[in-house]
Amino acid sequence: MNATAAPSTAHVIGRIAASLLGGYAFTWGVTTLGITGLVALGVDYHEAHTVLMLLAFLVFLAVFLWAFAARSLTRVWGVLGLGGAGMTGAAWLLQQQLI
Amino acid sequence: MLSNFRLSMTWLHTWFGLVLGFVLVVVFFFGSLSVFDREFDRWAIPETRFEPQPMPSFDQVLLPILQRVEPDEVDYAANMPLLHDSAQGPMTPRLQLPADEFWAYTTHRDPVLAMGVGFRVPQPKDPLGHNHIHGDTTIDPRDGTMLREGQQKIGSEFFYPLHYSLHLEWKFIGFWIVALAALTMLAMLITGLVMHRKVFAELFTFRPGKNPRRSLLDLHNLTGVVALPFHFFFAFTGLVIFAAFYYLPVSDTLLRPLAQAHAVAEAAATGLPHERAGVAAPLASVDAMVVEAKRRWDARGMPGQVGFLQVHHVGDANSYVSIYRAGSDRVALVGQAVHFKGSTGEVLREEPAPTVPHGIEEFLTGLHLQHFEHWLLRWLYVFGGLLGCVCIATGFLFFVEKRKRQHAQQGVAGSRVVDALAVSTVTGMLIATAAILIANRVLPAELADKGWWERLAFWLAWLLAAAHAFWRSAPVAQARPSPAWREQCWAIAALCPLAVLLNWATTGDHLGKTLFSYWPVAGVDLALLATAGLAAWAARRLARRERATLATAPAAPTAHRTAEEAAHV
Repeated sequence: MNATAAPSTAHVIGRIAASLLGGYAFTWGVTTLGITGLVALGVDYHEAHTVLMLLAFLVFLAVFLWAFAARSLTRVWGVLGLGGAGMTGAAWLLQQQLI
Repeated sequence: MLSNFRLSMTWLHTWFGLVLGFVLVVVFFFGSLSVFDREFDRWAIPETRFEPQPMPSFDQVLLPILQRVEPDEVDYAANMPLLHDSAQGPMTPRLQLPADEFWAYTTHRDPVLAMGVGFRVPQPKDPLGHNHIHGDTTIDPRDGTMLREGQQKIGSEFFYPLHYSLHLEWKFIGFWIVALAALTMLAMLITGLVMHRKVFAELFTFRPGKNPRRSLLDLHNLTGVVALPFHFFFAFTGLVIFAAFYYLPVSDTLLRPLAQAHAVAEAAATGLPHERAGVAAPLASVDAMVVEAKRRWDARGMPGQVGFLQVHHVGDANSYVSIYRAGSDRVALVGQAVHFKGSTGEVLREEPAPTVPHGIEEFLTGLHLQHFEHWLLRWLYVFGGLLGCVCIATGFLFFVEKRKRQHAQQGVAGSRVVDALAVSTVTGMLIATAAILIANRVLPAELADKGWWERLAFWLAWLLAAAHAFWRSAPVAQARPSPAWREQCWAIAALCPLAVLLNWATTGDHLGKTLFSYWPVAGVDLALLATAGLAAWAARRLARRERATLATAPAAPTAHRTAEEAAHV
């Protein structure tokens, strides 16, 4: 993006969508994979759940800010969207192993 | 997003802060009022103005009442069709739903006792789900009489839920808006630090004599930085409190198989049945269980009262009773549960001390909800919350001050709209608050659904204030202050004392009496009078400012000023 020009409306909407939807997807992925990962390591489910609920919004806050700080919007979508989907999928697979 | 990190963070701060700020200031204000929710309840329902009571006898007082409680009509209409499996037959009529769970909850500030029943949906779509239709009631624990239907606890049933749900129930949309606002608050605190950098200096910088824009920014930074840990804590813990239920319901969705397997394993390990047995059984004396629970708390060196009592699987052989100690003397809401077998009264399990993660979670949420006894901290919460309101409101004002001359010259309506919205939110919500209290004292107690009329008064007053704010906003388009601020301050200065007078006239409880006998009501009255005094002072200051602007400033800004403004945008 040009260093001085204001971003286009479409770009701003894209950023906001990435920060909120992408951020939520990523947080969801971290939470589910975090819980299943801890359970796989032998931590009690309830315990793991509490830990991730405490961490979730700190993760969301960090990626939310990063979504605006990052230079490339494509990279933001890539990391948050694919990362969120990937971690959620991994959590689901891991759960299949645990049940 | 922009060319450098700080510019991106500034953009985020300005625009998210502006849009979500209107929600945030409402959340902070009604959250501050909720610190004294029980006291507003006493003010609003005069027959409950007596001292807090311990939990009365379950066998003699609570049980007969719980057996008379009916499933709530609204809850039934909304949720029965969702929970019931129509393939198994027609819906069970509302009054034939069997009770599955009894509960009662009290704190050291509650004269009245809130209690309720969870009714079982006999043919659920999802047998593993939480298949309950609820029915709640509030009683006078001294004699077991139920509070009159339709009366609203303005503090705990209106202000308190307003601060986390905005009373927008549809699809929990209000919860999500508040969550977004809370996330924004966290982001604003971080981006605010990034923008200013000289954080330590902000702690000591307030130049009220400088030009208004500079003073506003000082006040915005000061209130933001001084109370930063406070603001961060409340926004963050607010999110944590609802995370598992609304925001990240992983246990009910993706991880449900894992969560269910855990629940079943836990039931087996603790001996607390997860399911009903399907065999009827009577309930042994719960009073005897309470005696045993108290004996065990004594033995652990922490004598206490019952805070929360719950009977699970009512009427079933698998029924068990959980008795929690009131957390008046510790941060966690309730704790040290002892569980008893419902049919025999034998102890099934005494809950061990919480593990580290649970301890942290209980501490954080307990510190937010503050049901423990600490009056100094309670007042500090109010002032901290109001500091948050000042921080957000000065943010709006700074936004307007920074742009209004430029907007005036370009003929852009931005500043005017933002200023009108700020008036609507800031003074408007105070007017609405005074209006609901006045409506509460004017409407007769016998009025059916009195709470509905009170809420109507609240929203109408707020709407009226917003209409007034927009109607009077024209001067902002010429870079002059809106008279709506001053006029609404006068409205507050008139309405708040009116509420105090009406309380006196309708109940006989004037300050001369309540100051020495009943602080919950005296406190609300004093706060109303203080608000009125502050509003009158602000109105006079605003009048002086308006006169000064009219006398000195030309309607259109000079070219020099505009260039200076543009350099700051």
